[in-house]
Amino acid sequence: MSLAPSETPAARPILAVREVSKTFGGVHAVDGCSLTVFPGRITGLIGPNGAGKSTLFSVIAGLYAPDSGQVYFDGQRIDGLPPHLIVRRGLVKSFQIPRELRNMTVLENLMVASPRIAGEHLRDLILRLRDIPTAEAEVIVRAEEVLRIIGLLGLRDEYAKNLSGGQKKLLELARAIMAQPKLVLLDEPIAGVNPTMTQKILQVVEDLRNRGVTFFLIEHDMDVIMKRCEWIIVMHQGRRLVEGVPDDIRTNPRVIDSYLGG
Amino acid sequence: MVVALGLNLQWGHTGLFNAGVAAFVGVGAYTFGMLSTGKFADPGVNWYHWGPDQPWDLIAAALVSMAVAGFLGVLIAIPTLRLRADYLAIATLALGEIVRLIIKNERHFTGGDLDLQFIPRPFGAFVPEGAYSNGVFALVAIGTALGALVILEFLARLPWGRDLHAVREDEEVAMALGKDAFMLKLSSFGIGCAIMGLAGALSASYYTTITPDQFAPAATFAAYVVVILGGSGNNRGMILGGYLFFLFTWATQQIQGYVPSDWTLRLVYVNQMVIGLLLIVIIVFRPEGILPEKKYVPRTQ
Repeated sequence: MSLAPSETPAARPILAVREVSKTFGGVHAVDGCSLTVFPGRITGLIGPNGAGKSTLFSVIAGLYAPDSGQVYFDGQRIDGLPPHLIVRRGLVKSFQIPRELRNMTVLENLMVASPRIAGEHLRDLILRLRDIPTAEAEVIVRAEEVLRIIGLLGLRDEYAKNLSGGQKKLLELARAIMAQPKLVLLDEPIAGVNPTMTQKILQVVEDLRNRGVTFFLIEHDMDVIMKRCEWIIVMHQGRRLVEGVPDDIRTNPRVIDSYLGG
Repeated sequence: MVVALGLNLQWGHTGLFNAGVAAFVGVGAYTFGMLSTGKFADPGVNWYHWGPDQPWDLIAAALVSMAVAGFLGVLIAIPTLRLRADYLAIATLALGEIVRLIIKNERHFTGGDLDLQFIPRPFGAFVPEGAYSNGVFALVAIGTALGALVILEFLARLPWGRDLHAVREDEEVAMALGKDAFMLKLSSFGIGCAIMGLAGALSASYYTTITPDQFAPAATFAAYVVVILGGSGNNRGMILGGYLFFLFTWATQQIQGYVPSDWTLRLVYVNQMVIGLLLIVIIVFRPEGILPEKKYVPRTQ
């Protein structure tokens, strides 16, 4: 695999995974995996089913603790931290199967995702009582703005459980954006979504990338991966197989072998 | 009804299953009883309980009851809230029995099964006993319930309340969105238990005599009936549920004189059966309760 000088990332990685392993009762889901993600671009993570992609994402987001290895985000070690502290540093993960907060409205789903505001802790009642209404109003404005970008503003006050499958996918993305992240991990953001909605989701991702948000996404749709990602990492049997620009990956014999069951 | 408000915070808003409601009410009641009556000893009949040398002011005693019940709640919650949801239920269920048995057996401390008597009522010095006293007490109780309602409504509308809802709906998602689910559950549980302690103080003052078996698991069950009947997540529903529940209990007592004599004793069981049936009907046909949780719809800014 060739790395032309222009494609050599100059910036320091936003995410670095070092020799991470995660075992589930004898199954090596992730097995000494190392990879890096550089800021400001859309990086794709592909690999056959069972390659350990989703597990790796969960480890990065802190939902699972790795058995061994380290995860660095923005130069700081984050493995072992509880998920809510990782989110506060600016790393957000969306769920593969949308997990909307069912009995809350679309707007509330977004408001919850906002970075910490006055009034979320009871001590704020003493320390920052006057800030609470303003903070709340600001969050509503921001949530509506995100809904407008995503195109869900019309469903603002609908219960999340009443959305369609595709709309839930959008909501999942909207929630991730609402958290004002530096890096978003998207686990199959367009799986099972109709083509129109897919274009919309991808458009939103690209718009945000242009505003400086980094994306790292798992996807099985090769067309989308090849067209939209600027860098692709291939995982196989719990480890990184190869990485490179889409054109190299497409023709790499090892990648083709891994998908054909090699 | 105040109990139900506390339970609603835990169960309705946060999804925590507290199976030991009676324990927290009981702890509140006994703390209040002991502090407000002061040391009591009658060596002749071996009948006494611990207390301060001078009886406490009722408001101070009620506040301490809340603190003790809340503290107990936090204490039991710290180890169990980290585990799966079921374990909180198991632990609180056990706690309920432990508390009742401790109260019953520590006779030198709580009066045990000899009851704790002569608990004062608010304004007791000015109001003679009897129906008039009940009326004054009702005013105090309604005032307290309204106060608790206003405070809890306010809390539930804070961003804090929204985070509790998120934990209830999906704890993992809440954590993935940067919420400290453990602290949220802990604070909700602690406040809920403190409210139950307050309810205990009120009931102690109302009955003026309390006995350990008042705080048996059936009291927990009654609180859940009120919450589920009224509508979990809706405090106004709690008030409605509370009235319906007590209206029904009161009605069964009233018709006692009009049923055949061999049925008078059975009435209390019929009451429980009908309530159980009602609960099943509500859960099957209207799981959100009579007054469901209100949708949060803020105006566009």
